[in-house]
Amino acid sequence: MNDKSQMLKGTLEGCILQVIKSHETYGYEISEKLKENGFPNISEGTIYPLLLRLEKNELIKGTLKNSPVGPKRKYYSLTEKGDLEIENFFINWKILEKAVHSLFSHREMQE
Amino acid sequence: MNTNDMRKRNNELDKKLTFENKTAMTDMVVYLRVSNISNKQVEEIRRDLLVMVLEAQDRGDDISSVIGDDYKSFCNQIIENTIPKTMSEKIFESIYILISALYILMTIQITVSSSTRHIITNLINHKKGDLSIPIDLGFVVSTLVILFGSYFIVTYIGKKAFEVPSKRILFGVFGIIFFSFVGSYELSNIILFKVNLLLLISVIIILFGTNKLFISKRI
Repeated sequence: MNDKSQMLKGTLEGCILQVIKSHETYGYEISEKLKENGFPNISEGTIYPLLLRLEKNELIKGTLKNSPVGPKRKYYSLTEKGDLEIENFFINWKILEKAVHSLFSHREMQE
Repeated sequence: MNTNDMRKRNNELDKKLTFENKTAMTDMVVYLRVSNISNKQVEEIRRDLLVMVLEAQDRGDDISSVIGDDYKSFCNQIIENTIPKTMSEKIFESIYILISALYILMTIQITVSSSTRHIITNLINHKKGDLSIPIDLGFVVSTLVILFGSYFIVTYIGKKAFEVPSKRILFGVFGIIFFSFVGSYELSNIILFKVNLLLLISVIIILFGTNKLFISKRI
């Protein structure tokens, strides 16, 4: 696994939670939403292990619901713990973003 | 829904897959089955993957566009993010396999035993006779060879699900057949004890019932 994908996976969990927070949704829709927002090469398979992890950590809850196109789909909704985790993620992300921006600002000026 | 019902429902969904998708799904499920995940969790994950692949199939998407090309790595990520089997799940799974193997092999023993044929002939001719069936050392040895041999082969196949089948598997299967035949033939004259046919049938029914009614609900 390269550094880019390691960094991406660390960020993806928080972003998946944010997508689920907006409305109850399922794997394929989450991956499409992430792609729409600029995450490259995100497939349902990329996020499925992360959804399992979030579910194991009780941050999201999966419920089987009828699908218009085939067998029942698993729809994910946020738990209270998940809601708190989004706040933590966002605070940590802002700190990280500020730190990275500060370090790289000289480089931007040079360019 | 219990694990058996989930398995049946998943088998139905599995029939809707294309040949290529079915092959990939089988490899993944076999790999997951021999990992440290409970049977129930494997069926839940299998269901999720089946829905994912079937929907991709409907959209005209390739399985690799959903899961990627490295199925083993995908399965390893799944395993990492699930709850490992508890000690009680491991114990009940082993008991389930042991009981299943025992009642199947005991049924085979009754069916092929010459004593059973004598008992049936006597019953047809309304003759009173001995209802006992000898349990010989050959039966015990071949049961153990089949039991442990099958376990190791199934585990080996599962662990190597994403690799080209090796000749070792064929040697393993041949070894089990050879040693169980040799064991049952060479040691069949060493009678350990005799057991009444009706008692043996009762034990088989009890083992079968225990597995279906109690053990299967705990794994």
